[in-house]
Amino acid sequence: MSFWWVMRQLGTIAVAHAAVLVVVFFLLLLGDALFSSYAILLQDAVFVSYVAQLGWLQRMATDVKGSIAFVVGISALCQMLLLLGRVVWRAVD
Amino acid sequence: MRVWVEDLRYHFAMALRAVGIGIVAVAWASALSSEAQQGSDPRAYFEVAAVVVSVLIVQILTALPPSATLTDLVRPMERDINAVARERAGGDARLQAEYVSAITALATERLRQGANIPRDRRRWLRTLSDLADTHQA
Repeated sequence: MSFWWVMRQLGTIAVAHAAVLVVVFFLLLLGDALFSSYAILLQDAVFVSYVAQLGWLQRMATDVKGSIAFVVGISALCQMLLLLGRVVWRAVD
Repeated sequence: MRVWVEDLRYHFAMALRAVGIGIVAVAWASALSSEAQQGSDPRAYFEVAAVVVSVLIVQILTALPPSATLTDLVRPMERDINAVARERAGGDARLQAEYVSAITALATERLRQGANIPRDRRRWLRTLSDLADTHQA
């Protein structure tokens, strides 16, 4: 396993995690869009509209998005460190 | 099939699994600490610990990508390798086994050097079996 192989793997892990982050945020957005469109469809339902708005505010809150980004970041860091560790272990072994 | 695409697919699947389990863990930790009526600080520490532990366990259970061992890349071609070896051996079981090991060795060597597996696998493997014949001669 060459130095460039390791670099390529680290880059691939970074790209994969960026894609996962985009996918998770997109699913959040999609969920809220579906709920909001349901609320718009039922024009009289004040409660549904209220819940949709509340849901949007909760799910799109900075701390929720920050928590998701933190999980993704920790995952990328762990995957990179473990890959490096395994490669070094193999080279030594 | 390109080797780096296989690696990207593998890393994406593993990242999705780890992040999914991490998000479930943080949601569970949040719900538990909320039920236990904890303050914001212990709650945050508990959530961070839950994320780190769960993601670390998932990543420890994750193997190296397919290009690290190459056996994962050669495994889907086993049927084609056997078929080409059978063609070449003409019914001789011992010769067929020799062809299988020679083609597998040549394919692995080329993949390690950065070759991509072409769409027409049989043709590629036939070329490799020709090379095996040349090596034998």
